[in-house]
Amino acid sequence: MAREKFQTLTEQMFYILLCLQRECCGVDVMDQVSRITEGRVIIGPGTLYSLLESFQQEGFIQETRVEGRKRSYQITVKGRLRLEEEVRRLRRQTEDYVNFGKEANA
Amino acid sequence: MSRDKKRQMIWYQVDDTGAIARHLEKMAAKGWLLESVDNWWYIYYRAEPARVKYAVAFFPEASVFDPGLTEGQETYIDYCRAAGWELAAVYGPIQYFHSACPDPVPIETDEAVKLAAIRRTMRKTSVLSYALLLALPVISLPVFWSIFRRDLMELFSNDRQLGVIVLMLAILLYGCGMLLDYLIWVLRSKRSVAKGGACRRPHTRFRLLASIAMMAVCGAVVLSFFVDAGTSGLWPALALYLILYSGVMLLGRWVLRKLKSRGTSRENTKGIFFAFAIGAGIAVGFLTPLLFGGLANAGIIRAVREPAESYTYSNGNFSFTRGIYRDDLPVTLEDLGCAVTEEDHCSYKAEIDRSFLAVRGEYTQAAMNLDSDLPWLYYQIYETKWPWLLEKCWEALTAAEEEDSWPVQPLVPAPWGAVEAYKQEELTSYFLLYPDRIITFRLSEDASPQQLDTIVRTLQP
Repeated sequence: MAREKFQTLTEQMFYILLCLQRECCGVDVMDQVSRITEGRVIIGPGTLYSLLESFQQEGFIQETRVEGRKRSYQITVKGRLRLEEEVRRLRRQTEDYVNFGKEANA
Repeated sequence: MSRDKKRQMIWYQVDDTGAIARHLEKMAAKGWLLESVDNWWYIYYRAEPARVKYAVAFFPEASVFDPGLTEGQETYIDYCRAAGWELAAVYGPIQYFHSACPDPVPIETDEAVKLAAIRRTMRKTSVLSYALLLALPVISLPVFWSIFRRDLMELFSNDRQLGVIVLMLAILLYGCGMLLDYLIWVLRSKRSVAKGGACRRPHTRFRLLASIAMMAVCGAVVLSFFVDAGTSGLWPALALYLILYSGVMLLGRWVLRKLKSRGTSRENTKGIFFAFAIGAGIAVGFLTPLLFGGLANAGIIRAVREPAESYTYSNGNFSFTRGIYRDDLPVTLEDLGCAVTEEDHCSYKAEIDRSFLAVRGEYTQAAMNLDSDLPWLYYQIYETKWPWLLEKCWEALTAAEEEDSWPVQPLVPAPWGAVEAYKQEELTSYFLLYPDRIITFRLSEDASPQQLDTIVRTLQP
């Protein structure tokens, strides 16, 4: 599931990786995503757990700290590259929209 | 169970999360909150009726053999708590959450992730269970196939054998149906998720009806066994069977609970539990005949019908005791002109099997005194209202005799008033087919035309 899935990041994947540019724990990720997107993107706890596990297995994030049951994570170089690649893809997509939009309106 | 607790059988399939949640929400509205779940039951405790949201979520890494929640599972539950969900109950990889919030964040917000978790959990739970269930009819298939090919008359006139066949067929249909339904659900959900949609709703009604039908078939078969055992005096044996197997199952549950409460690791618990299951299976296999033998010796159960009297034959070198039956027979050696005396100690035995499909009577008359010159007589009358069944039985009967290297010779059926007739020379056996019955008979010596006429006239329709 994971490899195929990560060829294109879903919004939830994108924001999890974005939040993990700074070290934080799972619960904080849920709060931050909701705050950054002003509630537009919500990550359910089950989905968050599964995605964190998958990202870790894929080497996109690493566990940085364990305090009792609280686990903190941070993005890896591989994860950062994947996130940047996704940003480039989205930017190209936006540019295509703008350029095509101009042509269509001209 | 106290008045503040309630037990309810689980009819839902594991992956039918929406239906389970709705059911639990209805129960909460009636004042019953979920306390725990096991393989068969939901256990509730009484509370104030409330609007509570429920959600079923999967943690595929967990197992029923875990001594408690795994580290990962605890983290998962912490995330759920932060999102407003409290753990209500957990059974292996299946977790039941409830929330007092009217509109909590769903536990799964990515349908692809949700589908993957369901599929991984189903492989470990329901799919495995159905595969094991299907092993039962598959293992018994060669036995039934052999009976089906050889002794259809016995099969169709015996309620117990028919009951087992019906049960096996029901298991086969149920197991295949459920697996197929799940497979279709997976394929449709995958397609839907690939298009950006949600997992499809399972066929709750179909599954509920299938489970209820399966339980009804099981109940009917067990009941018919009890009725049959009651009339044949074998009910203590059946009760013993049920007690023995229930005892083993309860012991198994107790062993599992003990191991888990002692904090034994998943691997060790699994190993010990399966060793117990195999050991218990072997022990029951050995114990059952011993116990039945003991009960039969004590006269509590009778494997065979009690004879009217017993006769001990002795010739100085050896002796044996045999039961003498005094049943009514349609045709006797006396009717055939044989002189039967008291010294012959003749037994008249009639064994009749009935089912809703057919009746099969097996009749034997023989002298128990080995020094007697009296011939013996054996015949069967097989009746059914179903012509196709009669035809199948006739085909199987003649084919089986041929297979046993005792070739059968066709006879002209008209003199016998039959549709078809065969004779087996070596065994002096006759097989006669009539529109509603099959008659087979055998005399230990060649029967005279008069004797044959008497037999046929009496037994034919």
